[in-house]
Amino acid sequence: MIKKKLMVVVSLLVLVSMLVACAPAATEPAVPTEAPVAATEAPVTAPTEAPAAITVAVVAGGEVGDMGFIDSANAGLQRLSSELGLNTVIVSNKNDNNNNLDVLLSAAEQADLIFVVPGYFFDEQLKQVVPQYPDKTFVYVDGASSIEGMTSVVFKQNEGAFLMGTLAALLTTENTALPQTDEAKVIGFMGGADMPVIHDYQVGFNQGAKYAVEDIEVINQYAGTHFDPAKGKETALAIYGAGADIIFQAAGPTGLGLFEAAKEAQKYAIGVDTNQKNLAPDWVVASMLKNVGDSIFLFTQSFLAGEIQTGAVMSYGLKEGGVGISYGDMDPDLVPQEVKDKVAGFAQDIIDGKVVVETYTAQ
Amino acid sequence: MENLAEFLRASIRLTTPLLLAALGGAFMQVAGVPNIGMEGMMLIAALVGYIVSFTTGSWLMGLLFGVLAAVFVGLIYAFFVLRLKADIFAIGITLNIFMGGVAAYIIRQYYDQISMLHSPNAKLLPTVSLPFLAENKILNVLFNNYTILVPVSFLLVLVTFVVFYKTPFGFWLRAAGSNPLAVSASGKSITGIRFAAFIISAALCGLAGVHLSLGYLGMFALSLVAGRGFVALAIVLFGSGNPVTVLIASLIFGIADAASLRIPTEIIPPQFPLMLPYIITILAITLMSRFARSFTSTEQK
Repeated sequence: MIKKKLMVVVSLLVLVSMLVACAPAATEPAVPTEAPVAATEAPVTAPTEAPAAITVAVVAGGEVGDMGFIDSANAGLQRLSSELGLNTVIVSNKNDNNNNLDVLLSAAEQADLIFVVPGYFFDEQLKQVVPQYPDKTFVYVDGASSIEGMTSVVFKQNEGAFLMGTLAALLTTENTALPQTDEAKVIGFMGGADMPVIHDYQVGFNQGAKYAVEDIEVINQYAGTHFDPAKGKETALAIYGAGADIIFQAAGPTGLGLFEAAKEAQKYAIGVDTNQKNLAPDWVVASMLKNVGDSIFLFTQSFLAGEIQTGAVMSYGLKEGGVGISYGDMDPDLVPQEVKDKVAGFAQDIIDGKVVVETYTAQ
Repeated sequence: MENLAEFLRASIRLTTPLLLAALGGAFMQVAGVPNIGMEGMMLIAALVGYIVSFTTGSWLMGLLFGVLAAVFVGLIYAFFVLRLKADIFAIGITLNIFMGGVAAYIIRQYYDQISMLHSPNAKLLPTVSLPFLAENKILNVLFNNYTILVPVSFLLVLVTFVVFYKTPFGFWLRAAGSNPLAVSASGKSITGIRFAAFIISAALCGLAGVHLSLGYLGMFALSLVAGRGFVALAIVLFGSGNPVTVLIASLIFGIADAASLRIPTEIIPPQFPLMLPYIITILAITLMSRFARSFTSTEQK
């Protein structure tokens, strides 16, 4: 019996020592011991406009350097600091959900306006924290929150997806077609997990494709998960195999598989959320962007002007610059100028209200 | 016809990682020690294989070190289970979680990435092209130009079968699972036999992991394995370690998976095709286990 207990103790010790042995030998910040308080990475400047002396915080569900939402949010903060002279602070959960409550509390103590990026990482903790600070404004980024006292920022992904639809349709059709496309006018949409926000992309993409080229055929397929790149590749290969020349993905990490499939099938791909050109430069024609940073800047401006009421849902689409398109800053640039002009024209149609892009919930 | 061939090709691609891992699982299963740590072994092999491939520029080194990394995990597993007599399930699950942490730590600390590694310098596993197959279009689609571990995985079914049922080692391996007392009585070391099973099993899981990153996807992502270790475990349990049954179960899962990605969502809501692999697997497994039971009962007569 004693021997058995001893064994348990020994095995625990070995496990712990393995953990310790894996700690970095000589790297600067000792990550685990550092308290999750403000990592002030954005420059803090003194307020210049007297009435607007507020502090704006971003609570990041990730770290600066993700080449995605967090970097974009950080860029927005830097604009607030340099252009409006606001105090800014960014606190990161360091990719560990156990820190969520602490970073939220820390931000609430320091700032008046708190952006939570992305909101859905912090649902549980926000329910606790928001009622504790009734005089602070919490903004749920990338989704409409039902939490009492929470203001939300949503992106009109259907408008961005609409543009991608027009782009893909133009690039597979005769005069403007890319070299590796066939006669048939077929394009594809690949979704990840089957959830409403992804259907919103799908609806916009399909509508855009048909708006640009009437007789286009769109193959819509779901991988069924957001977290399996191998399955994403297989799904993309199935869509290419069914005749599609270009695929637009809205599938999180699963979507990474699309770029490998594009290389293998020698067909084209469109990225999502951030500029994904670097993942397959020869085959990615463009990426749809969600401009988190610009939205934070716009929201703060409206907030300072007193235009925002607590609990409001602000939606940012093409008109506001909340979503957009990037052709990537790498060679080769696959899209002819003629097509870019046409796509810009379609974007203007949406901004002018000539086209109303359908949303999934409106169906 | 060509579509059917493409479909079967996709099925084979989806089968391979499951088959490799499940064969590995079979080695431990028949020796009476179920391998719960396959998920972690695959993940660490996929990561190490990819890193070594893009730092050395050699796929062979990537393959070798990926497998060695998995074997190292297997050694830790064996040490806890065989030497310290810890619970095999507890340690297996702990290792899976731990390896997830190790992988995340490595790519964040040393490569400054959040959830994936992607390097243009990575040398991927070569593909096997047979010119005589290229002449026939259907055969070409079905059997040609796979990455090297795909044909190897099917060959390994045969090898495993021979090892299990035609060699003295296989005999002792199965005896260690079905009648450990008899093995001890005959003077053989159960621990020694099971230790060998751990190492072989880990090496095969390593192949599965390297296949995912270097053979199939061409990148590493933290979610790369995506539960395939557990699916493989299910396959092993259903087949109770028999390599032929393991092959059949892996193929069923691969085919159902490929089918689920091809059913047009306009006709059927996307939720239904996604259920397909699981429904087919459950049905097939139920039927198979009935078969197996009637087979063994006649055998005992």
